[in-house]
Amino acid sequence: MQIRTHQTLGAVISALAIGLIAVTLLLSIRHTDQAILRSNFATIDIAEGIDDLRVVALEYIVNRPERAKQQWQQRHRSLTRLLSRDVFDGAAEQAIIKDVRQRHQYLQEAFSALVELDHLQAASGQAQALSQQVERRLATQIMIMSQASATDVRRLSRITTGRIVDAQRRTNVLVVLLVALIGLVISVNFVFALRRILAPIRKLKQGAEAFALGDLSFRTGLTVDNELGALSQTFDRMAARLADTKAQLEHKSVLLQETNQELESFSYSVSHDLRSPLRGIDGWSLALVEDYGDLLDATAHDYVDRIRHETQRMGHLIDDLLQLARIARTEIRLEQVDLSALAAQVAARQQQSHLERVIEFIIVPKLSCEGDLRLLEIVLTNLFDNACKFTGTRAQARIEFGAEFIIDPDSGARCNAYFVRDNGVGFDMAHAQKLFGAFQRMHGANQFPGTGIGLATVQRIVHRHGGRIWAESALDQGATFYFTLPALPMPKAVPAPDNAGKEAS
Amino acid sequence: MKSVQRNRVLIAATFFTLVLIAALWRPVSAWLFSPAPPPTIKLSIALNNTYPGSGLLYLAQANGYFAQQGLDATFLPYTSGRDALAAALQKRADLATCADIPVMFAALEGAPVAIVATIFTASRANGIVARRDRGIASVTDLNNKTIGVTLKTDGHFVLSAMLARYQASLSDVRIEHLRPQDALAALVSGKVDAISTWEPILSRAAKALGDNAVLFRTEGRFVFDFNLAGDAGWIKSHPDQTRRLLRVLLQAKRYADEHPRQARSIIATAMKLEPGTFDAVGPNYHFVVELNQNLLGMLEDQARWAIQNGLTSQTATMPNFLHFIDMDALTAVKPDAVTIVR
Repeated sequence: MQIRTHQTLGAVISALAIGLIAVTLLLSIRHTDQAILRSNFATIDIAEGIDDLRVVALEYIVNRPERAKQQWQQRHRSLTRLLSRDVFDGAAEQAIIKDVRQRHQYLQEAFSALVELDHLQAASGQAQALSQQVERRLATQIMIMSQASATDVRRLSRITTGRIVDAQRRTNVLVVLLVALIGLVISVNFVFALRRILAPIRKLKQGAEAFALGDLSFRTGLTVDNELGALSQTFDRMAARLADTKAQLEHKSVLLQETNQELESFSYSVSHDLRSPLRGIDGWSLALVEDYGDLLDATAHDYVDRIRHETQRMGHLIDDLLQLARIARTEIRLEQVDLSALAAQVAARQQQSHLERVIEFIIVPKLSCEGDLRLLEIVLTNLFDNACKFTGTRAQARIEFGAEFIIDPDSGARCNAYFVRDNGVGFDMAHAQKLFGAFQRMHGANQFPGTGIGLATVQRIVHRHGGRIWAESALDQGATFYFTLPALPMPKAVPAPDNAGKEAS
Repeated sequence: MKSVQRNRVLIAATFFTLVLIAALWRPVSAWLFSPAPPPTIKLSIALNNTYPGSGLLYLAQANGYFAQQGLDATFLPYTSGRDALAAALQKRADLATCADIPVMFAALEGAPVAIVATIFTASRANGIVARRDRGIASVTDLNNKTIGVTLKTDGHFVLSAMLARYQASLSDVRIEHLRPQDALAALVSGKVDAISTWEPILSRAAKALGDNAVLFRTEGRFVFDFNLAGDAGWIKSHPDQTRRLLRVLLQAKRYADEHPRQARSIIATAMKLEPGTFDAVGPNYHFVVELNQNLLGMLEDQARWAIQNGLTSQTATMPNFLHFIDMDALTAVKPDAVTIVR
């Protein structure tokens, strides 16, 4: 049964049961009130009437005052009216009231006979004695009947009081029943919640935790026939699919790794094997110039120079390719790296290579990280090299290295990133995607020489450190390359620019 | 998981069992700890088998209440309570049923009599049936007429009381003593001009005379008790039997209160009474098991009558009737049924 159906059904049944008991309780309370009214009628109204009649009858028997006779008649009438009321519903009470009513009538007859006797003139002494006898008997009968009525009213009172007690007991039982019913409803709901809601939820939580820990083999295996059962089954199906997908991905990943390794081996072999003939070409070209330079005219010299230039360029290209391939194969050795010092060394080398230029290096001090020193040096060398290259047209080049708290454009999350910023020619952001591909170039080789492998190498190293790299630029506005090394702790705070060390030439 | 479920089932079963036991505790305890039924005791009761006042005993016998209380009761039938009481006082029976008058006479004569309980009250159940052809139309016409009565019974008392109401006395009429069972025939045959008797003879006589009958019923204020009485010594020395018998009577009374129609039908059948016997006096018959103050008033009124009319050979002083009522048994069995001022 669905939770919703169960809850609705439970609520309806509870409401009905509680409503039923509440109505019965109300009726019982009403019943109690009626019983109290009846009891009061018996113990107060009727009993008082009987007592009153007894008193005035006694007064009349003893002293014969006319006033007592009148009072008797008056009270007898009012009690007759009272007794004619149909107040009692129980058979026992009705029977008693019937007796009291009848005796009340006999009482009137006896009292009338007594009054009548007073008006009778006794003819003789014997008649007088008989009258006295009858009078005594009537007095006795009045007393007996009054007493009997009083006893009856006491019985009536006991019955009505008993009915009050019964009604109150019934009310109490109903209250207890109501409380027990509410308790039962709560217990049943609790047991239901425990067995059919909380248990599946606990199982689902275990499943989610197992997933969080990467265990995709967990299944809830629940067969509860409700919404949570359905959710559990969906969870199990999802888990099964995820496990399948993961297995497929792992398989593909293995294939990809194999392919990559093959490619890397291939490119390494090709690069390595190409160096030898290239050195031959360069060597023989040099031998040609040295041995037969006199025989060659200017044009021939120019051609040989071009040959040697191209072979050297191809050498660089092979070096870069070898480096790229090596990076993929090199095992990373983590150590604490003083990035600021490393940047300073690289900057110094750049200064040496570009003695003719004015390049200002601004390096934020005390930046350190954990990483592979050799690889990080390649990163900074390539980025500084690029910066130097693309600021070649600037009279005063400025290259900064530092760290910033910045939004990662991919994830949208804020992160700490290192950056290398220059004031060079920049590039069109429309082509930003191509930046890090091998052999991709933004500018012509004759304008800015290069192999187009440097940034691909940088990206590979950053990725191998678990980081990301991206660039921001605008044409003629300079460029900034950001990279993160997230697996490794970042500097806690970025030093203020005032404290930044400056190296300028 | 399975053991947890088993535990839950066990807890639920235990809970429901406890609830069930608690709910049925009284019956269970009654069943478990009820004392063994008391050994059966023999008891003989002399009773007036013509008057409905003995009805509760017949009802109890028909419904098996004697056996339930461990009594092996024997009924010794008599046609009047006077004879029944005499049988008890002469040790021919353990107890008897009778009206107030036989007890009153026995008390006046110094017999060791005691009333255990009043078991029936009736008004308008006594009276006089007279023959119209003897010139009787009113009570005053009874002067000098021959009236059949069973001496020292309610019939005797009622005749006197009715005559007194019209300033006549027993000496103004001729009294013919008749056994109750002979009264009807004497009236019909004309041996007597009238009879003073009780139901159901009263109705039978009126019916037998037809249009020739004149019936003077007692007024409602004349309430006659019918009692369980016997030898005071026997009652004192046999409290167990007496209490058991009272329990039997209370059980029968409860049945009569709850099923009045069936009760009357059972009694009429058992006593071989005419079906209309109980309807003859309307709602003036009451099956009771009580001892109340009225009993004393009645006994004294009747004693006064007996003394004034010289019906007793013994002392002419009014006895203390409290000494002739044994309240112990009824007080032990049903205290609130005893309303005699103590």
